[in-house]
Order: sequence, then structure tokens, then C-alpha cells
Amino acid sequence: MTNSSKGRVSRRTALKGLGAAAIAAPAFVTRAVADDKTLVVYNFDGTLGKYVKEAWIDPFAADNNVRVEILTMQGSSPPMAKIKAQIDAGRPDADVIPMQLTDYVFATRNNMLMPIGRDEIPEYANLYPEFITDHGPGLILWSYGIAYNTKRISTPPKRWKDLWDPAYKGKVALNEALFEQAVQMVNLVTKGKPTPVDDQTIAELTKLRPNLVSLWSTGAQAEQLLRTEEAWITPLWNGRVYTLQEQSVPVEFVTPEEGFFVRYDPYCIPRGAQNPALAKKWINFICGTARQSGLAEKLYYASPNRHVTYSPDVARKVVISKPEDLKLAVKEDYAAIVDDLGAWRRRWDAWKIG
Amino acid sequence: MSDQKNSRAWLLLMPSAAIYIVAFFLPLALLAIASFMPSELAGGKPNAMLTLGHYRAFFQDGVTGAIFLSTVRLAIVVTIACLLLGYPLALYMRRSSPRHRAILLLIVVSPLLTSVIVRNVAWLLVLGREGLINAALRAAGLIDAPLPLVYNTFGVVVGVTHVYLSFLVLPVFGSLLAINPAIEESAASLGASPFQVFIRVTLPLTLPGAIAGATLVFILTMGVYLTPVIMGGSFVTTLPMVITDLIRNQFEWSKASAFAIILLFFVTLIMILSQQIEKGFSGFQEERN
Repeated sequence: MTNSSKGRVSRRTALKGLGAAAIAAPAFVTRAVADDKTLVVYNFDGTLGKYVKEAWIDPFAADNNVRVEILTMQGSSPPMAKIKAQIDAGRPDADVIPMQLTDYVFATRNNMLMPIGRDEIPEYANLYPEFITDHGPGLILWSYGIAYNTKRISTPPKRWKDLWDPAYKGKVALNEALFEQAVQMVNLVTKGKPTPVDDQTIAELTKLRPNLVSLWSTGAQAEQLLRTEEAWITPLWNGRVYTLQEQSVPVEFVTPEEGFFVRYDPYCIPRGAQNPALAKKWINFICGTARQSGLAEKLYYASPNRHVTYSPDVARKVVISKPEDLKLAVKEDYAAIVDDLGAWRRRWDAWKIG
Repeated sequence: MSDQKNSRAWLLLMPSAAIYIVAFFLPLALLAIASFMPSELAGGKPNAMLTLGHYRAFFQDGVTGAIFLSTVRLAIVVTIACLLLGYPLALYMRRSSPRHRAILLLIVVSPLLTSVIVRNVAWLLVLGREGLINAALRAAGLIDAPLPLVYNTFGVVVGVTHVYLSFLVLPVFGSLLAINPAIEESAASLGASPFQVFIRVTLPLTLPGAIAGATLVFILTMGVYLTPVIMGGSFVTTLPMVITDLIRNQFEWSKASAFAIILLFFVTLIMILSQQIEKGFSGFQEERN
């Protein structure tokens, strides 16, 4: 086949063009232009995402005359595979990413995040130091305890062990989402400590099986199970329970005697972010007392800001209203969780398929 | 002149070829390469050595193979359910008036027009322990305790069959419409009963459509994810759920790539097998005629 002449395109030329277009295409689909007036942030979906947009994003955009673009996450974890690929290519889409603590461990191991010095965020002076990481503050403190239907269960459960009560046969739900909290919870019942996850853990889970109606993969699923009374009792995160209460669903939250779990979401800046200065300014803004107080009052997530005060009712609902409360929480080793998650998952899947 | 025609034909193909290369073949090639890369879980400088470890893990980790087989079992059950429900439906549609046929067609494809989450949540309201069916059976005094119709394999089969039924009905219906009624009339006029006409004339002529539809349903079920999560209560675990967890929660993207390539390989084998069966059957039909 000869090369093109007089406007005719040869097969070889066409194939070369297609190949080049295919390789170049990704360059056109990422954030193209650095812009001092535009901040791109990942945000949660659902009620939390709506609150963050209205209380943290929109006011900042208005006060600073900037544009904030939102990338909505599916659930509460950012797409780490995509973010890593972008960082490796030197062009992350976002300037700020809230992440799970396990995401944070992975991100730091792979040098994905920009270090933030303590002096770069003035509001750090108002945060409890336990919640300040080398790459951003941990915000939105949430607790994992027991949610139960107050109409169907007259005596409030006090312990994780109560989930195994034969009176709840077919009425207990358990989390598939963040299942590592579920298996550590089982260990609190059998061993008094969260790890190791071993045959004993699975044996205890097997004993729980007759009580289980479903494993839920999202908080919304858990809410639906409680709302329809398919489940009367389930481990759940505290914020979800109060959303149901506002919908007149008769549920309450308790922190079990064996211990409860507390996690938070570090807000971090990826390496190579296009607008780190504006990102730090926003992070400083959302650490402020006003922003943090609003989150506690509206969605009952505790704050790392020491100047946030809670009414007695809100203090009960946020669970961690003062640093001493944190000492009651079970200590999770997130690095070990990341390393062991695969093995735990295989045990969990083997248990599920029987 | 023939060269000119060939060039024009080639140019017509270029836009879709470009889309296929960029959106399918290139990502597939990258996926295949990623499947041999070492795990990135530990972080640090990547080890340049390629590995077959992720492929070995599929067969040797003690659970993924079992989940793969249970996914195949689910696909077989759903395919049989679609055949048992869909074939008679297609037969009925063939004999219906055009108006009834159009209504039935709309009902059959309607699941494809709604979101999978909306569809599954609707099924939960029907099949749940506090759902419509159990409430009706209790009210009628037929049961004391609710039947477990959801958060198990039965619930998943119902949910998946509901949406994939159309993928079987349409090819079978197409095969039925392609049959010349004179052939069936001839068989009847030669003394064959309606049952004999169906078994010896109609069914063999619609087998290619049934095989195509069954293959499509089987392949689609091998990739099912959301319905087992919602209607199986995550107790029903499929290979796509394992792959999703590897990507979203375990940061094991290379392993997920390897598992996805294995799934793709298996699905391709099924398609080839289906094609061979169809060819073999068509050849047998021709010989017989």
C-alpha cells in the first residue's frame, strides 16, 4: 500500500493515526489548566455530602470569590486506584481528598500525599493533636456501636454479645461494609481485644449466623433494614442512627461495654495538586469552630476542634465529646489492618459461602 | 474501482474502530499487563519483576475458586429459570395479537428501563419478611412465620432472572417468528399432534435462538454484582464482588486485573462453546433435511 496522495488515506496511515490518538487521549480528559481561583475537592455522597457542600464548600467559595468543583465519591472512600494513577502521572484531578484511615495508610506508603506542616494551618492550634496527621487533619469523627429498634427491643442492649441472643434470631444485621470492624468486634466478644482474626473469630461468627438476616454493604442499606424492621438490631455508625430518628424511625444507638470503635477521615492534599495554597486555605476554613460545630449539631459527628461545645443531648449522640472519651475507644492498628485485610477477607468470604 | 470501494469501506469503519481501540482494546491490553505486575500494597519502589502470583492465587488461595464455581452455579440456575419462564412466554407472544404482543414485549423489556437499585429495592418490598407476599400469606393463615424469600440465593435468582429474562425471550421470539407457519401446518396435516409438532418441528427450529439467548443470560449473570449485594444480603458472593473488593478496599489492583482476565477468558470460552454447539446443531439439521 502506498502513502497517501491526492487526499486518499492509506490503511497504514489510518492505523498510525488511531494509535496515536488512543495514546494521547488520556491527556485530554484530566484537569487541563492550573487555576488559582478554582479548587477541586472530593466530597461524600448522601446526607453528609450535602451538608459538607452547603456548610463547608459554598460559604468558602462565596467568602473567597473562588470556584469549588466537587468530585462526588461513591460512599465514603475515594477512588484510590484512579487517584494513584493520576499522581503517578503528575496530574491529580483534585486538590483535597478526604479518605478512610486505611486509604491514608496506603497513600502514605506510596508517597501520594503532600506533607502539611503544623504551621501551615493556623486552625491546627485549636485541634486536639491526636487528630492531626502529617498530611492533613482528621475530621468527621464517627463511632461504631449498636443500633436497635426501640419498639421491638424493650431492654436496650449493653454489649456486643447481645447480638448473639437467641431472642434476636433472624433479626440481626451485620456490616459487610468495613467488615474489618465486624470481625474485630467479634474478637472483642471472644478475646477481649480486636485481633488476631483467626479460626476462633470465624467460629463465633458461625454461632451468630442463625441470628443474621442480612449483611449490609452501605449505610443506606442498614438504614433500610432498620426502617422496614427486617432487622431489629445491627452494628452501625452513630450518624446514621440519628438520620433515622429524624425520619421518626424508632431506633437508638448504644456504645457497648466491651468497647466501641472511633474513626475519622483525614483531609489530605495529593502530591502534584494544582492548587495547594487554596487547598490549605480551605482545610484551615473547615477546621474552624463554626464549621465543626455545625457538623456536630446537624449530623452528630464529633469534632477534633477543642472549642466545639456540645449540649448534653448532642454530647451523648456524638459519643466522643471530650478527649477522655477517646480513651474508651478500641485502638485499631490501621497499618496492620491494611496488611492483613486480604487474609481477613478470605476468611470472611469462606465463612459467608459456608 | 474496487480499490476505491475498499478505501471508502475502510473509512466508514474508522470511527467505530477508533472508539473500540480507545475504549476497549487499549484498556484491555493495559488490564492484561497490570495483571502480571506485583502488588502495590506494601508501597515503596515497585519491583520490576512480573509475576504469575495473582493467577496462582485465583486457584490456590482457598476461597476464590469456590466463589468462582458458586458464580457459575448461579449463572446455570438463572439460565435454566430464564429458559423455563422465557420460552413459553415467547411462544405465547408469537400466537398473540399484535397489540398483546406489543404489551408483552414492553413488560418483558421494562426492567431494562429502570435502575438496578430501584428494581431490587422494589423486590425487597415484595419478597421481604415484612413484604407483600409474606404479609398476604400470613393474613390468609397459610404461614405462621415469614418465608425466607430474600437475602439468599432464591432472592438473587429472582432479581437476576427478572432483568435478564428479556435477553432470552427476544432471541427465542425472533427464532419463532422466522419459522414459516406452513412447515408446522404441513406436519399437522400429516397427522402430527400439537405436541409432536412442537417437539419435532418448532423446538428444533428455535434452538439456535434459545442457545444464543441462554448464552447471553449465562454470560451476563457471571458479571452480576449489585443484585447479590442487595437481594442476597451479600451472603451470595460472586466473583465480580471479589474483584470489586480487591479494587476498592484492598488496593490489590493487579490481583483484581488477573481475576478479571480469568473471568473474561472463561466467558470467551463459553461463547466459543456456544457457537460450536449452534454450528454443530445447524449442521445436524441440514443433514437430516
